[in-house]
Amino acid sequence: MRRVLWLCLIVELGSCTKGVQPATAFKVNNRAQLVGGQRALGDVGDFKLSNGIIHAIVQDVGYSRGFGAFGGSLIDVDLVRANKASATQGVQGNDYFTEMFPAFFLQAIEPAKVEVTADGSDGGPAIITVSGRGGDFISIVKIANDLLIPKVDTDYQVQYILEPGKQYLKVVTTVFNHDAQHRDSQYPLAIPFGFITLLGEGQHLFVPGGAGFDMRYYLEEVVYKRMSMLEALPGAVSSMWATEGNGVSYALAASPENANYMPTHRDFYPEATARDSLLIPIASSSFLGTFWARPPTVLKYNDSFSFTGYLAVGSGDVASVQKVIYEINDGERGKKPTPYGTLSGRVVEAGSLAPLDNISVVIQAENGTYQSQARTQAKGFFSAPVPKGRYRVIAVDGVRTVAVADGYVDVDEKGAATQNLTMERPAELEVTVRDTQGRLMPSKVSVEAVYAQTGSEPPRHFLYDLKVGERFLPSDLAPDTDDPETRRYLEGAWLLPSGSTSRQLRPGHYKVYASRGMEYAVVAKEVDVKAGVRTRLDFALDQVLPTPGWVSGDFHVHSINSVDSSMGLDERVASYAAEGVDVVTSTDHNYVTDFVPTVDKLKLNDWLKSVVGLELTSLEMGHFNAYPLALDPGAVTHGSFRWFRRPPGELFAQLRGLGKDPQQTIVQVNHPRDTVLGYFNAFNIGTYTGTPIPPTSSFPLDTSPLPDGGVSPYDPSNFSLDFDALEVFNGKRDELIFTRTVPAVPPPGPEPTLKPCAPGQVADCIPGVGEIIHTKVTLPDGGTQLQPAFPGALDEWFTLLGQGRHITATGNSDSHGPKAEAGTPRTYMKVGDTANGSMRGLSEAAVMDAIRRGNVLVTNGPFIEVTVNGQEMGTTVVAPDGAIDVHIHVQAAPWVDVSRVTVRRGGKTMGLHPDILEVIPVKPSDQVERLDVVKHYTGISDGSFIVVDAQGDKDMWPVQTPYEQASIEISDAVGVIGAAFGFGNKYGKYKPVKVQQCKPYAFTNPVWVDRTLKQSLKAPKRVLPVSASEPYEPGHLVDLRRLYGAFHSDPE
Amino acid sequence: MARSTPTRSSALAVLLLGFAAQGHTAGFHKRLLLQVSRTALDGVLTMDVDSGERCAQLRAGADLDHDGLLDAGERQQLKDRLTTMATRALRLDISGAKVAVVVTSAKLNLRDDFTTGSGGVSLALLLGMVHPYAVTPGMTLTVEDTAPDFSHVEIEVQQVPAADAGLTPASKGSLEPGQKLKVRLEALGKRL
Repeated sequence: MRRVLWLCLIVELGSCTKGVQPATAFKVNNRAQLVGGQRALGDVGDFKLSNGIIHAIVQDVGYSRGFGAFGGSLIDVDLVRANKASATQGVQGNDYFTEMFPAFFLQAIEPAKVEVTADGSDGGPAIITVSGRGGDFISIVKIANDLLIPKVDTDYQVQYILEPGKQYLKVVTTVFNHDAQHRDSQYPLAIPFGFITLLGEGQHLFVPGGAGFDMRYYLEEVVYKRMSMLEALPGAVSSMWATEGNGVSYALAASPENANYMPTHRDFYPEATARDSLLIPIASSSFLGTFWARPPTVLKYNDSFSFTGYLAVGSGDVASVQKVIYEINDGERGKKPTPYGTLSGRVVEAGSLAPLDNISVVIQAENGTYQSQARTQAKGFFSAPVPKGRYRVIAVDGVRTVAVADGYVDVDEKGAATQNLTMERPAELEVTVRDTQGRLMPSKVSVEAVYAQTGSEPPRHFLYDLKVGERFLPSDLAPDTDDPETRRYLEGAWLLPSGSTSRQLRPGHYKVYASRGMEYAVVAKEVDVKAGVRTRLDFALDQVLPTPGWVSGDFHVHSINSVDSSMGLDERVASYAAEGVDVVTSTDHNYVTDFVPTVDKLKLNDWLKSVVGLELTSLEMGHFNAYPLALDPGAVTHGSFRWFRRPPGELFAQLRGLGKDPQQTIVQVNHPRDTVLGYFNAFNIGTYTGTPIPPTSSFPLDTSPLPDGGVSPYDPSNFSLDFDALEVFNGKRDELIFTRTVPAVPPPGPEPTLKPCAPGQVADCIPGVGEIIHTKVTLPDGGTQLQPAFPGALDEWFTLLGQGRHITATGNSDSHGPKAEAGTPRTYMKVGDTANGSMRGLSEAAVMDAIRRGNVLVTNGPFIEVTVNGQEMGTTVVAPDGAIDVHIHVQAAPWVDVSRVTVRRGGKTMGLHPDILEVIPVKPSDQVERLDVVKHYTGISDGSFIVVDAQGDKDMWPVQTPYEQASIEISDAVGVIGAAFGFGNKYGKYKPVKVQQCKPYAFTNPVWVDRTLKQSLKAPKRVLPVSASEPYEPGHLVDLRRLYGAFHSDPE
Repeated sequence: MARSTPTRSSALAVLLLGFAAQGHTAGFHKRLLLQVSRTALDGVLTMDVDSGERCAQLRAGADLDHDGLLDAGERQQLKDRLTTMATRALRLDISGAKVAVVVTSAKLNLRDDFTTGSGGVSLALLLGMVHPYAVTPGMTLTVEDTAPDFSHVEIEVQQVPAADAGLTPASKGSLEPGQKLKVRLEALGKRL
């Protein structure tokens, strides 16, 4: 026995000296086993793979904790790090990966089981297997899936495979035809299979080829402009996609096995090379679709079809993760290593020749495509793997002009070449901002410059290069002429939470503005800054528009805890103090954040009050905020909960259940008309009825019953108005506020397929200038209803007010980053004396009470105070004779233009829109006082409301920059794909314009007017209790045969 | 790219732990989902057996020709044996009327290991029983079950509601040996 023991020991030692740690797979039962990191979503009960080099988490069955719908997805992936881990604090990892799951065109797996099918104890790969049937994770594409996905019982299986010694996951997806009726599975059109990846902000997407770092405009300006075709999907083509991130990066490539979708349509993708097999038709916000496999036209009964992807993990730049992909040698799946050479070099500073670390270096091929990217390490060295070819390097840094190498160098397979770069030395600008009493004050500094180019080209074509990763520079969006005032851009917008800063920037001539939001003046100074020289500027800012008794707030705010924001907590909180907002509410996507520790750390307690909130984010039903909430620090998402397959009324009730005091929780519907993210769009709400009407979209949500016969959550009967506030004004997006009318000069774009309206025709045609574009909807009773083609939230709010619903309108920035300034717009609450002085003394209850009552102003610049018969907003005036006196007081900082004030009356007797009682012109002025009048109106009927708004015509540059870079939304991408299948857009150039300057706009909440005194009844709000870890409850009966069918069985 | 190289002492620890693991009786993990309708009782029963000595014995017992591999016939035998083990202790009755357990389909998963090693095995059974009397509200379903190693069994009972009735929340339990789960039955609908 002893001899046997020693023999075993020798054998064991022999295997150990190979130095390859085995791979393992297991079910997580302790938080110390998790991956950890900013985007980590794993929890006890999920499944883990690890081989000592990388580790990953696959979520258990249930609802997705990421942005998707179902569990069973890959949710955390990172390099194994020697960081601390504890059962209570978890792991200090660096996962920056949100979610990935296989997609059968636009259908996903709804998993029935996740299991360890190989735990790696035999020295082989560790495998986690997910089994299930198809599920529509986004129902607006159900119409496409119904056409394209065969109606036979197919089982899906995904194997996440981690081999010892490998720095990538192999993901094998298999489709089985197990139809009980023995039917063959026929795919009528060539649709691709692949993966949907939700990367999240913080991972900068790089696609080798024409796009580089700029998939956003590459898709819009190159790919989507091609002819739509039924034969093949529009999309970018490449051999892989990769990312750059802070300490971790990712890449996805495909095995040649069945990777034949794009190659069999090569004629439609002229830019594709022999190495390319991936097709990327969608890369929007955090949603990336990568397809490569083409299933057989017929999948016979008992047959199967597989495709394989490789997800590699790097150390932060594209080069590190590309190297892993190039070295993959997977004979089983036909994946051979990609031969490559190495291009390396050094980046130094001009003059001093000091090495520069952390500089991004992009590798460009001679044909203009982008191949790789690397970050300089210690002593300024960089290195990147590239296939054989001719290349040059381009160095990019935020405070230096881009440096491009002279000429190209040859790189052979297994060869090496070198190119070095020299970058200019930056200048330095030191700034202080004080109040009129000399005290340092939180503020913002905007550094403006002028570019030389005139003409109609957008600045992204000449001012900066997104493809090489240069940062976006906001511009004034004025038509470029010889006048330099029409050619302005911002070199930087700096936040000064403590009132002073010192920053590097490119040498040059600048105009520097100091500001602190709409209550303060703006002061500008011109300066020349030189390389290597520090220049100092001092500013004094005056609060020209004090608002005693009022506080401003932003109730829709994102930070790095949202998957689509990379704004760190310090910067996020600082931005609110810098813009003069008094109350900031954290509303991250499906994650409850508390800003208080950050406010404390930055010592901003006197300037800023923080409220805990949440944006419950569904894929298609809408986005809903709730505040103030209790924080649950133990749960992975700190208290957020499942939204999938649940009707909105339940979501509202459960949001209240999260509140500090459920009956006092504010539930706010966000951007109700924002494409698939809008609640009113989800339920096809009639603008003039406030109730669901038949859908007008080519891609309506799926209202068919659930598999068990239950009612779809999107069924019209589930529409609920049980919310307290409606976000009428979202960010800098006028098209979401105002119902679209025909402009005098339409923007460039395709001609509509609709014809101009004939005499007497009011819908389904293009009307005259200034008129609303309508469509006509046939109701179930045979009647018809007019519906704006592009409704705005303001009109729909008026409709609800006219029905007597006391829903408070709010205005919020929905800021995810610096492009969306904090508090633009903002909501002002009348709270009384608690508003005056330090924000430490501000009563949170008073703020919430003001919102509930409706004593609230929505604005991005003008400040309006209005009373009716001496009574404030949110109250009801009793005017038995229908006569009222409306006192309107409008103020604005000198840099905010106000050109007209409109008084509107709505109510039970209003038509499609409120009546305009009066439009009051306001003379241009640089004084704070703009209008102070009392207007007398008569004939105001019972059940009316009065709303006053103010508008200006001049934009508010540079304090509020234009909405210049609209995201490609999922609905845009689906629309392009839909166009490929014949679902066209009939409105052409008359669709709303998204890119626009930021102009002043403010409106009050209503003052109600009745003829007689009425007692309003307030029923308690519905509240659902919340549990910290909510188990997956399908809410319907399980289909036993489907569950059994998902069980993976050995062949007979 | 960090790799850890085991030291001699840690290798010995791994070896000893491995032997220790060899001596531990592996566990059975049994789960039962039942769906009661007015005239039928359907269910899915799964049983996962941890890798280790127990699995080695089960596999070896099915290897009739002692060649170290389990061919199709031997796997069928193993499946039959596991089916018997999984259903032997299951007792069902509705208000005293016994319901005989009927297995309509069985699946075996050897986790891609068709040898007589100690790799884990999993079994899934589709159950379909018809009970003789239509269920009326107030009757009681009694479930008693034990895993082959006398560990607990996770049970969930769902009731198919009648057309005009609401969905009754599922009854869940973790049955220890000798324990019974009693579920009051409401107005039930047709078999799904």
